[in-house]
Amino acid sequence: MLGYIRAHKPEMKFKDYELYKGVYCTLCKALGKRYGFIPRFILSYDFTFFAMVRMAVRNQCPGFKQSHCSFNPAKKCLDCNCDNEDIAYTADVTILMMYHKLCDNIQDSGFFKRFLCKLIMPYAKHLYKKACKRTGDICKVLEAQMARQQEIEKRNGNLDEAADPSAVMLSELLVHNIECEEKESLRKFGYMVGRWVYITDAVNDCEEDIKDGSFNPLKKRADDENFTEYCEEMMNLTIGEAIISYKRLKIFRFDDILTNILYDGVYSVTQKVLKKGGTENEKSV
Amino acid sequence: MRNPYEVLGLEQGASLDDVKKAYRELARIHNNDYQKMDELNAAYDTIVMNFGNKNRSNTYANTNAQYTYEANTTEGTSEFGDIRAKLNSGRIDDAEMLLDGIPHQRRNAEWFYLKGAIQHRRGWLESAAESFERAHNMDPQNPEYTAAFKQLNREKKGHYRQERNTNNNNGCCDPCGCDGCDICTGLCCADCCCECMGGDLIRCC
Repeated sequence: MLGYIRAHKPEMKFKDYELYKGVYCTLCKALGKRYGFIPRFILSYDFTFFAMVRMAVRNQCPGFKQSHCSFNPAKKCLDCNCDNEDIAYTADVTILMMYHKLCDNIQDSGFFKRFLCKLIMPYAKHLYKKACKRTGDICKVLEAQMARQQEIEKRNGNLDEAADPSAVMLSELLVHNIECEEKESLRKFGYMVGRWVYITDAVNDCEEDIKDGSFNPLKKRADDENFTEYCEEMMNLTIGEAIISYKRLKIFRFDDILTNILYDGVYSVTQKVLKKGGTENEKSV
Repeated sequence: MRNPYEVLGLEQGASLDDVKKAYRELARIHNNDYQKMDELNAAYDTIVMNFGNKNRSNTYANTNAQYTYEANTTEGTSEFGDIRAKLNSGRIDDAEMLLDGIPHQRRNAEWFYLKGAIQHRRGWLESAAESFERAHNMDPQNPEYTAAFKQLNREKKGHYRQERNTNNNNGCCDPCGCDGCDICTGLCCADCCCECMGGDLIRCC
């Protein structure tokens, strides 16, 4: 996950903005508490969304209190109860995903980047082992999906196949240890969001991948005349399905924020990635 | 039970907004006819409950489709009936295995439709859209295939944006359902109250 799922600030209410940032801050703190100082820098808004969805589908109020940002103590922020299991779980998931992203980078990026990734690998591995211990069996699922991804890349699979492992990963992470109504819809929702992130990333990296010769499922179509429309259609289709599943979920809180992310945030990212005159507010919150 | 879309006078696969609009209009006309209202409510509930179901093979669409098959080609039902049943009960792998076992010369429009339905369930949207399109092209008259094809096409064109915009507009034009009638009634009431106490709000009445 790479920061594609984010809120669209101009359409947001102040109260929602505070809450959204509050969850982000809490996650950052939880990362610091559980894994030390450095991993805090890898946190992205995707994981805020992830944590909020998990909190939204269950009726256990997390509760917020006023607190201070630890990077900038003068800045106030809301603090969600830190012993909240979803926050802790999301922090673990952040580490798991970071590790897999790093492995992926070593597999298929240029010399310099690969060197950098290898340099921090031992440290990442140490964190990963810690996170695995805390999350239990779920890291096995992730490893299996990563292996599948490589296999699909080797035989140059199509878009549906290539997006499948990432999508399954996110859906499994999202429904892990969760008790809620409409669990199947939640799974489907996770799948579609994961798929959307994968496609968006593929669209974003397409030019670069063609230059480097690394795998990209969109390569085959890149010379088509209506390539941009094709990408947009695929992104729209996927997020449209995600929204259909979202509507079937029973959402207890954060509905405005999640709706903002799914409709407006996603739309602005879509426009930006397709380079259709990117919007001014590209820096979320 | 009749097809709920028919009850509301809509085409299969109409959008949720259209369904709501049609329901409100019909409810206004028939609000004294209890039997008709029951039917309308049931139809509306069925559509809303099933809306966004992973595909159009939800129960009513399916019974509807089977009716047409029995009427037109008796063979069609027996051929893929078991696959539809498996799909409905959620056994996607079994359904796909059966479907893939069918030889190429027997792969008709329904075969592609069912293939699309399976791909759609799995979340393989690109292939699903292609299969639905193929089914639709092979048999443009079939409402089931057309609905599936059109829905994915609508989503491709960014239907979620339009939905968001109409939602926002509704919220701003009609926040509490207060219209001209409500204002008049309110004034009449206020006038009556004033007159009871010896005053007067509206001179002329």
